[in-house]
Amino acid sequence: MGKWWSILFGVTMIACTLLFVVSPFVGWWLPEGVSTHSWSVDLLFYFILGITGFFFILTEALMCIFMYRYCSSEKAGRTVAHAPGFFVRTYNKWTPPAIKGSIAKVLNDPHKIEMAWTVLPAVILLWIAFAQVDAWAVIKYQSRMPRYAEKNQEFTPLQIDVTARQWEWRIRYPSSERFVEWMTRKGDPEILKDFQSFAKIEQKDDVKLVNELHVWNHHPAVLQLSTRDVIHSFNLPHMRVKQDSLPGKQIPVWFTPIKHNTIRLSADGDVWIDGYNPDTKAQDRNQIWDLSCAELCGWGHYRMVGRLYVHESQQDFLDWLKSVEAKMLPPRAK
Amino acid sequence: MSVAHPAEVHAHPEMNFLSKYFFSQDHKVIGIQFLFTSLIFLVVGGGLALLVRVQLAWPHAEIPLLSWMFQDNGGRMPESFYNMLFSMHASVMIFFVIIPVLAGAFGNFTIPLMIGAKDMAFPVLNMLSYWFMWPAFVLILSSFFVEGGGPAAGWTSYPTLSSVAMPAGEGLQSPAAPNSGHGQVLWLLALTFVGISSMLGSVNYITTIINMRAPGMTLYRMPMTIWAMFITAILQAFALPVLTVALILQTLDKTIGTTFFLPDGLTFGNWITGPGGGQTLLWQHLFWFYSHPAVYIMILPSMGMVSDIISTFARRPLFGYRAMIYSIAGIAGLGFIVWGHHMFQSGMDPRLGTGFMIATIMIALPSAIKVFNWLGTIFHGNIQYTAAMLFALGFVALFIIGGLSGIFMAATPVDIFIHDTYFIVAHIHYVLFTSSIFGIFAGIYYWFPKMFARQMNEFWGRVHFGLTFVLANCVFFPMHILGVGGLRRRIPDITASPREAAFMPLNQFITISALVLGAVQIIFVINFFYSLFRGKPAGRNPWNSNTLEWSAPSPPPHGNFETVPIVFRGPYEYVEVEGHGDHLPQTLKLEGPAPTAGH
Amino acid sequence: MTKILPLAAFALLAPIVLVGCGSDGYSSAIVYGVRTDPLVLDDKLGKEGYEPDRPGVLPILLAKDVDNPFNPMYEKGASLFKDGLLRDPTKISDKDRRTLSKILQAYFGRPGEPQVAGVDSTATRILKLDQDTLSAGSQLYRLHCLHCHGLAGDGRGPTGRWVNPHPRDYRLGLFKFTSVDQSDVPRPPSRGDLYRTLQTGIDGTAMPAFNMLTGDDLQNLVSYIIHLSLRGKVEFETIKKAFDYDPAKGTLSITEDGRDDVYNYIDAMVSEFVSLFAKDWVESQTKTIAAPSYPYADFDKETRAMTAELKESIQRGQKLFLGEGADKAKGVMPSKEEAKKANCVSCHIDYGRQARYKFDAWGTLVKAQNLTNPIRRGGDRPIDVFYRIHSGINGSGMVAHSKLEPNHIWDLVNFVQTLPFPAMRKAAGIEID
Repeated sequence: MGKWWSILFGVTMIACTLLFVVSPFVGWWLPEGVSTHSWSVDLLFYFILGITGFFFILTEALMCIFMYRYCSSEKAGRTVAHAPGFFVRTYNKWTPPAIKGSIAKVLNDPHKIEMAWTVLPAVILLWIAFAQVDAWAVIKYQSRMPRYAEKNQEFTPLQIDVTARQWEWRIRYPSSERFVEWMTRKGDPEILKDFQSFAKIEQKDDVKLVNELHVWNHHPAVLQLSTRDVIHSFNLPHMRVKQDSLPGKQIPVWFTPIKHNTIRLSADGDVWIDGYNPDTKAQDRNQIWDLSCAELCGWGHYRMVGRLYVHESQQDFLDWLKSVEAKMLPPRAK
Repeated sequence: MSVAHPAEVHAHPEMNFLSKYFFSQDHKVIGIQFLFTSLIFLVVGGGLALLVRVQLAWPHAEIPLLSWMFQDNGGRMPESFYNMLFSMHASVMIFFVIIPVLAGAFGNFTIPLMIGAKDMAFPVLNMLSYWFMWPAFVLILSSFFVEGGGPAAGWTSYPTLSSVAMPAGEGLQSPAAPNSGHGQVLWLLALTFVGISSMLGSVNYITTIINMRAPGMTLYRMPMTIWAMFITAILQAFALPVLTVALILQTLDKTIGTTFFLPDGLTFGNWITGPGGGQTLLWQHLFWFYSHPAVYIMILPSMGMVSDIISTFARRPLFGYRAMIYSIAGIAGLGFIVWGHHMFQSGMDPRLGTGFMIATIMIALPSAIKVFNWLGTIFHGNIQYTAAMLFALGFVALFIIGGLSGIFMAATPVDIFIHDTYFIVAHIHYVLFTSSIFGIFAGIYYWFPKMFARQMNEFWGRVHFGLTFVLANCVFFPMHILGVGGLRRRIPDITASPREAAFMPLNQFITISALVLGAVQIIFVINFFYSLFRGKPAGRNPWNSNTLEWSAPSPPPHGNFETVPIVFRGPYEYVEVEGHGDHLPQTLKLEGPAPTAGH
Repeated sequence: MTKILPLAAFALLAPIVLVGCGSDGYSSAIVYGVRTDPLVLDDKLGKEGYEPDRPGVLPILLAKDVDNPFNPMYEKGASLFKDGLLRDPTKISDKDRRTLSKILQAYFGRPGEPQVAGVDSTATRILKLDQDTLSAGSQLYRLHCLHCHGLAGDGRGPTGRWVNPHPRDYRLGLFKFTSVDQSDVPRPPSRGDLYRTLQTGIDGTAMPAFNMLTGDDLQNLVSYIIHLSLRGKVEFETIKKAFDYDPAKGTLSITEDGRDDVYNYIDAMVSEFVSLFAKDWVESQTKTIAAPSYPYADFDKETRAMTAELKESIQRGQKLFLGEGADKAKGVMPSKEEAKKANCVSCHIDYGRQARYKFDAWGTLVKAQNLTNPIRRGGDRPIDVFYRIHSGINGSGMVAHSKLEPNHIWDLVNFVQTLPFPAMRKAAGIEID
């Protein structure tokens, strides 16, 4: 009877493992990674999944085997004949005669086993720890973020001000004219000053939108994150970006998309839709990328969801920005 | 608890009903008091969890039985009510179930018995530690019924959501959320009382274990349960003051208008808060400085109890006894410098995150050592599958999952994606439900004969385990998948984002499993109360265990032992010696050279 | 022990059976109730000041709320009812209430099956009040709007009193931010106005943007909101007209004309009101304010500096705002008479920085906006600000300034749009401190 318990354990654990094997094929898995961060994050994820998966199977298998093999045939509470000096007996019995030399020595000495299973995981864990420092630094350290046209940076990052409030994202873009100036007049100290003032000072010609974050492909975007009321968390799962916004602070976040999902609906119109998959050249539900709040921010937390639009090129982005600006303008005589 | 006391002669005077069962200073009665009240709260917390699950699986439906409460919301559960449910579920489970059961109930019951002491060092303090829980009980339960509802800022209660208040004298209501007003203040006060209670308990445990061990009970002859309780008590004693300070500061913020955690000029529609200058991150540091060690406070005693139980029923000495002690100490030590891993995405300096990450990853090491040692213990054992043993083995099997999933979150880049998703929910429930609570079940099945002199029904105990084991995995394992898919936690309606809505089938499967899991616990409740009155009478040592408590009468009288026990050996000498069966109780004195088992 | 087995089996099954009971929509038990909160007939309700309501407080949820010493209406208290500023519909006899409820249900259905009966087909078509649209809207409303705006659109949902500004109570048929000409009488908004509000949200209030919903969903919601508003307004006016108030006893009794046949009397009245107010809504759809084109260029194309023209316009705007005109119409400055018509500063004291809270048409406390803050609740496009100045903000106390010359309205728009930005104020040469 007792042996059935090991089978129950084994079957349950196999079912758990199978769930992890099957779910990627059902679509329950990491959303597609579409930024330069996603490669390093995903690699580390799969690497840790491999190591933990290995140790999971190893330990659970051992446990089930032991539970099966060493099940008492007697009822609880009764004593069973058991030879004294069992350590010697145990390990002599278990060690197959084929294993000799140093391995057998280790297996026969509990202290050495203890050392082995301390040092081995320690080495693996330390390696995991240090292997990821760089990926973390690239994503989060402010010193590693793209900046305005510094010596070793060839680009001007797109700057966007994201202000969270209960329960929506208020997003502020520079006007298209101002943005073109940033891009074209690099090195001009006046422009640098203007660039740096963007996040701190709101201007009348800024373009303000709600819940819609627009960037363009293959170009770093720096988002200046702040909040008006409570803590929110800026979460772009497809970009592998997550950052809490803190009241009273402005925190920069950056990412570079490597895939676009937004196209112009018709050649000359100014309607832009997301959900476009450039690989299949078709609309695709999985290409709708959400921008959600990940930190509990009150009763509307769940519905604090916006969208990320990645345009194909800078020109597309500017066209879109101009079309939004045009809608903001007062009616003028033609 | 109408358990007949065997006529015993002891030094304590007979007491009336009130002083015997209510204001008792006997550590066993206090332990049992903790056990009963906490089990009641377990039902409350479990009920809250089931409501959470029902809302998640059918987010737009009327909630059966409760929809009358929500008529003004079209029969649906309001979102703020949902937030209150999960906040209270976590608060109740952590502060009113797991910590009181492990430290309060098992700590109280086992420590004097297992070290051979008559009672705790400070019996009055011990009684007070239980009675300080009562204001907390009253406050936390009343918070459901105050204006605005119970606290709904999560059990972490991050400012500013939790702590924004109107200026002093304008009422306790909060502009940030209806539930962050009166309910939040009551929550803060309740936790302060729990903190005082735990503090009194931990001082008592430390003193008792250091000073009141029986003759011959050296530190390295103490069972793992006692070691775990000892280290847990130290953790509590050092970490709790920080939480208490944080709670008091937030209470001041909410009541008299201080701004420890509030920056200035927060805007909530027409309400604009005045000058501030506080820091929201300060709360997170203070809170996690306690609440991360609290995670270990909630798991270490279970680990200790499980070690004892596995050794007893595997009829094998605990493998690597000293390594087990060192790894518990290691977990506790490292546990103090890893709190920042809850705050990787919080806006804390990311360079600090790197340091916390390395410490956090290294804390997996002592946990791994413990798992290997448990496996080493059952290796070549003679395993008896009692309900207690099954829960202990279930603990080991599922703690492995909880431990391994922790590595994902400790890895800072992966945490960027995993943070605040269901992966965290899966992890915490593998650690707290399938580990801590399994440990608690194991402990109840194991010590029930000592507490009440009767045995619980083994058959129904095993049925309870089998169903709980399978269903707990059905409930919590799929949450890993939800987390890998990026489903955010703490949301009442996953259809708000089309990406997340795809997880609906899995969510409904989890909910149905959770409901059945909840129902299965009725087996335990019935078994518990049935056995309390009608169970098979147990002798002194029904499990043939070595440790000291089994040499006392069942139930032990006030004063515990007939004579002061003298300890001759370690707690795990399950070896066959001519004429002594397969175990050598700690009080057994052998003539001639002792067998060299244990190390 | 064997007794446990069936018990446990039952316990296992019980919760699973229960879960199946829930429905995904309104249950048929949920109906619109006849309103219980007092009718606000005048906005001179009580103390005004610098403090908004505390969270969790709506000045009047029920008539007895005025007895609370913390209520801003406490000083006037019961006299509010006596003088007819407020009217308490709970004083209607139970029988009459049931009749009223039955009739309203015949016209408007219940939340699960909303309808608008008694309007002609043109109105149904223009306002999209067909049953399919309304049911779709009602389901969406239940998920997204109900917890603040309440079952009957009364702004008294479970969270309604916890946000300030309080959620809109649709039952007066008044909506604040419209593009409809309100210069003569207050009119309902156009569908487009409601759609825009849903899509962009109202920054500075708890109203979030719903632009992640599809356009069809938003259109359905707009229809349902019109339905709720019509129902509320009909209910309001019927209670006001069909019942006589007795100041001595404090009761509301059916007027003399209707005593013989209460049902038909009220039914006729409701029928009349439904078509009347539906007509108002239909009319509004075509009554967009005719805004003249914006006469200025923002920037000099060459130097990127503010044009002299614009600068002057902003300065004129400030004069108008402060109610200071030139004695004689010198140059381009507005005359004194013109400036008096604007005189924004009378409410927007110190450019709104020291504006006081006053009662609005719904009996809640609101204040003139602080214009040095860039948030414009009605939208920050220049045309939005133009609409606000031209037609006022319904119910809020902001009156229509349609008598101003259109160009002077543009001057004010320019000034108001410049106010929040110190650099622009400097460039335009205006001082506000």
